[in-house]
Amino acid sequence: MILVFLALAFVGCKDTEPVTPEAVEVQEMAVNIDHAFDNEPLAFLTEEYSLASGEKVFFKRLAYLLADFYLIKADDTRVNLADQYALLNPKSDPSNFTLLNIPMGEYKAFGFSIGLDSIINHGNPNQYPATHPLSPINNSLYWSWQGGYVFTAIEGDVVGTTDNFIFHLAGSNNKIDFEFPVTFTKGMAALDANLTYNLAEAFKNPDMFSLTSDGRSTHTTTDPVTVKLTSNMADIFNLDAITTAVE
Amino acid sequence: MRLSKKFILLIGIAVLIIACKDVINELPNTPFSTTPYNLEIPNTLPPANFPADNMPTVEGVYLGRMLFYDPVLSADSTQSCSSCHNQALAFTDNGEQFSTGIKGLKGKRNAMPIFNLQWHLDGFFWDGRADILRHQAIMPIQDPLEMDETIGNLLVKLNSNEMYKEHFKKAFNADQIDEELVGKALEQFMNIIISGNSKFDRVSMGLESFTDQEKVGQLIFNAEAKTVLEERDPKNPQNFGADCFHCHGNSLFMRRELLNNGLDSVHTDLGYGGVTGNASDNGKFKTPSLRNIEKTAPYMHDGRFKTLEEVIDFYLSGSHGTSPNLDPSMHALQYEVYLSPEHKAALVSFLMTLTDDTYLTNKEYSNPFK
Repeated sequence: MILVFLALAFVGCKDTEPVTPEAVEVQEMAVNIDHAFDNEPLAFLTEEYSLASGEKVFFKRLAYLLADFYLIKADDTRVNLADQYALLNPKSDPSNFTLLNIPMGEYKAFGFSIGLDSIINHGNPNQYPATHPLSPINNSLYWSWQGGYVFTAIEGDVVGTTDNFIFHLAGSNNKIDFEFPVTFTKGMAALDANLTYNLAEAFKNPDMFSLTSDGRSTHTTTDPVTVKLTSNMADIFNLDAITTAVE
Repeated sequence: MRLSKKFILLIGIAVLIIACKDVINELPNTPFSTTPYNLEIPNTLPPANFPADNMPTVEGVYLGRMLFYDPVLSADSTQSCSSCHNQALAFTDNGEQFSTGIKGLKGKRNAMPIFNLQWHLDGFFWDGRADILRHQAIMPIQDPLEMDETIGNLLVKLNSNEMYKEHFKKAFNADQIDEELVGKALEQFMNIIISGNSKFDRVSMGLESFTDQEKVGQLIFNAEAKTVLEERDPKNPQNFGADCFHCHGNSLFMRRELLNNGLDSVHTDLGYGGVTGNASDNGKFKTPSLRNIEKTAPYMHDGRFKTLEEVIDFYLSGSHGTSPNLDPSMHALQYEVYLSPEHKAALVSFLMTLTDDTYLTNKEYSNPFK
């Protein structure tokens, strides 16, 4: 009888026994972005930086939107990672996010954009849940005056003065496209991508930007301040590596 | 030694009970269910944003509403939340600069309105000291300048009150009322208070039209003020932007961040800096919504401005340049900006379109004891 009860105890409670998980394909890529000002990590409020113009600044805010992520396979097939967006706000939030729906295969390039195409940019912003990257209350990058989003906000103070600067780069004509040639294999495991964002680039390459002579704020999507900063940002990202995630 | 069959049977049952303890514990003693609260949100507001662990239910919302209007929350049972948060005035305190607590003492900051709180992502109170709404809800109960009650006393009162015991049982299946549940009930009630049926909303949905004056006011609201000194001509009729949109530009008319709008060159009230201890946060306060602004006077964290005209004059005065930690969003207003009296009136007329009478009179938000 004891044996019968012991057997019942085990059989009756078999749901509590551990189940060995089967290996599954993880279609994800974890993207991490290191924000820098040339060779220094980017910090806010109290860290002083020298622009290429020699002007010294404190940064108070950097926020931007990434969209249109895609991969190019070795056979030139393009894999669009549709409807995926990222809000980067390194002053307050961790600078990482996860891209989904990445199939296995051999790849030769990874790309994305800072900014949004015209349809998304002028869509109803209230369609997004409050924590979505494109939710205005989440990103503080939506300005009704333009009926669209600010793609990059760079804000701060000029050291030693009461002057500040506020650059809001907006308008689908100012969407910046990036594509990085990089060879990697996507197997069952997830991928890790590491990028560096060098804010100093916006103020120096190819055209040096001066707060004094160029200006301390943007006004339209086509004004010279917007054009110069946006052009300079073409090299703002470096892709360090895409590797298979270590479990 | 030979064991009796009865003894073996008892041992066997014990083994079964112990082995299956987790399974047995998962079995509910009595059926418990609540009714989801059906909240219709107009498409001029974002989708619902309730905490996953405290979705509003009919039972929970009603309980929160009872608590909100019940003076039992205060030490001497003379004040409820509604004593300082009057629905007819967007749940602000009847034009008072500072509210008066049960001991006759004045608070330090202006009572804030209550609506659309589910979309506040970065804390509550003017200084952001409460991280989530259920924590906010508990603080005025204990504040010596407000209701001055202890949580211990309050729980004794509620746990000996048959009406509240029944309602907490219905809402949370709780036999014992605790601080967390009081906070959650109040959170549920305050989270379903929304304002999204102002004239602005109806115009946005194509149901009504702005007057010519309101249209001009909206342009002024959404236009940049001129900033470059040489371009500024105080009398230039083209120079009509008030630059409100940088901080109040989305359909919630607020920003999540706590910011310094340059009220003071010396921060006597540290605001967010008093919470974080960081000097770089001194002078920062919540960026409030402008919805129902017609009803929420006086204005600013310390209620220093009695009228919207005074607020507009402050923003156009260019007096903020020396305020430590001034937010760069104030860039365009760092110097004096000119607006004609007609344009100021137009701006006020646009702000008046943010008044939502449906919200101000919604019976679902009113005193359930009346």
